[in-house]
Amino acid sequence: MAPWWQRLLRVVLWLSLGVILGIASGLLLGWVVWPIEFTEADPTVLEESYQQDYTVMIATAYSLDEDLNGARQRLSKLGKQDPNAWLLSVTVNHILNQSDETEIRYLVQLASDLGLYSPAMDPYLTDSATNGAVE
Amino acid sequence: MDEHRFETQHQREQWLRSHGPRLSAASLIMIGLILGFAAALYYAWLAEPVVFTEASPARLSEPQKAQYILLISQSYEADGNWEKAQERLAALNDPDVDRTVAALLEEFLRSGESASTMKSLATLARRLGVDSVAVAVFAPQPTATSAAVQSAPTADSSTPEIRQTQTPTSTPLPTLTPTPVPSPTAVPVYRLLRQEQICQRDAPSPRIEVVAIDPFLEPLPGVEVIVQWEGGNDHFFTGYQLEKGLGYGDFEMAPGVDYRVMMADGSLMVTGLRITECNENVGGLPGGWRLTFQNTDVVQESP
Repeated sequence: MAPWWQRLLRVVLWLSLGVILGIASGLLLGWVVWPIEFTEADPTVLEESYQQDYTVMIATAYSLDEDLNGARQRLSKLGKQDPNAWLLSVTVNHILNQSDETEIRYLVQLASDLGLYSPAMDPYLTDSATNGAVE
Repeated sequence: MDEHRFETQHQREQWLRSHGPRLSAASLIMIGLILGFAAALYYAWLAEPVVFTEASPARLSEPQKAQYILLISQSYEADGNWEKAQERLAALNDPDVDRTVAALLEEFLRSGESASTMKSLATLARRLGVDSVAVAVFAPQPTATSAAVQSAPTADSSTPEIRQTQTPTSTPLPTLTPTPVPSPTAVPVYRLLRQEQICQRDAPSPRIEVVAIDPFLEPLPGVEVIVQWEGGNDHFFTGYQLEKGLGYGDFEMAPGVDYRVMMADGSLMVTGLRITECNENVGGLPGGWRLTFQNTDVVQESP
C-alpha cells in the first residue's frame, strides 16, 4: 500500500487539476461567453464615433435653441477632461475630413460661441459673418 | 455489520488507512472544478468585470436614452435630415422606437418641458408615424390653413393649425364674434407661448397672470381662464384691468398650493404653478407666474 504522503500528493494533484480547470472555464464564461452587460451606461462610455456624433447633435441642437449653457452641460456629459478641447478637435476633424458642410457649420458656430478658435474654422466663420452682414 | 477488534493502536490506524473513506480521482477533480469555477465566476462578474468602453447608445440608461432621443429630434428639426435621424435612432437598437418616442413625448408633456422641446420631439414622433393629441398640438400636419398662418407676422412661424371646437360662454368685453369651425378632432385652441416667473418688488402679492393673444400677437379680451388646485377651482376673464392690457387677467396665489391653469376654450393644462422664491438679486421675494397663451385659430381671427 502507498505511504500516506503519496496518497496526500495524489489528492492534491487531482484537486489542483480540478481547480485549474474550474478557474479556466469560469473565467472563459464570465469574461467571454456571458460577461456582465451594463445597460445603465452614460455617454462617457460610448464608442468614439458615437461620441463624435453626439457632439454634432449637441451643436445642431444649439443652432435650434441657442442655449449655450445647455450645450456646455451636454458637452460635459461626455466625460472629457477638457470638453472645449474635445469640441475643437471634433470640429477640426470634421473640417479636415470634409464631412457634411451643414454639420461643420453647426460645430463651428458652437465652438466659436464658446470662444474657441482654430484657423481651420476661418472659412466658415467668414461666411457666417458675411451672411450676418447681408441679413 | 462487521466488527473489528484491534490489539494495538497501530493496527487500528493501519485498518483505517486501508479501509477508511477514499475519494476517487474523478470526485477530487469535480470538487476542484466546482471550487475553481465558483471562484473564477466571482472574480469575472463581481471583482473584475469586463468594462465596455466602446458602447453603443443602446447601452445607455433610460434617462440618457431620453436625452439622446431629444438630441436626435432637435437635430432632425434643425437640419431636416431624416436619413441621419433614422441612422441615429437605429443605434438605440429599439424595435419599438416609435412607441418609445411617443412615451417620451407624453412624459415630457407631463413634466412641463418647454414648448420648443415638445415641438422637436413631436416632429420626430410624427415622422415615425405616431398619432396622438400631443403630436397634433405640437407638430400639426402642414395644411393650407397653416400656410396662411406662416405668412402672418407671428412671433413663431410654426403656429399649429388648430380649430376651435368650443365658443366662450361669457365675454365681458365682446369685441370678437367667434365662428365655430367643425373639426374632426378636439384639439386645443390656445397654446402656451411663454411661461415666466414674476419677481417684482412693488407687486401686491404673488399672482398667476395670464395674457391672451391672437395669432397676430394682438391682446384678446374676454377670454375665460380656469384655475384649479387640490380641492378647488376658480375662473377669471382677461380684459378687466385695462391699464394692464386688454388680454390681461390675474389670480392671487396662496402659499404652498399647486395650481393648474388652462384656457376654457381649450389648451394644454399648465401644472405645478406655486409661489416660488425669486433669486437673491431681486431680494428673494415670493414670485408668481406669467403665462402667455396664443389663440391659434387663424380662421376665427383672419380678416
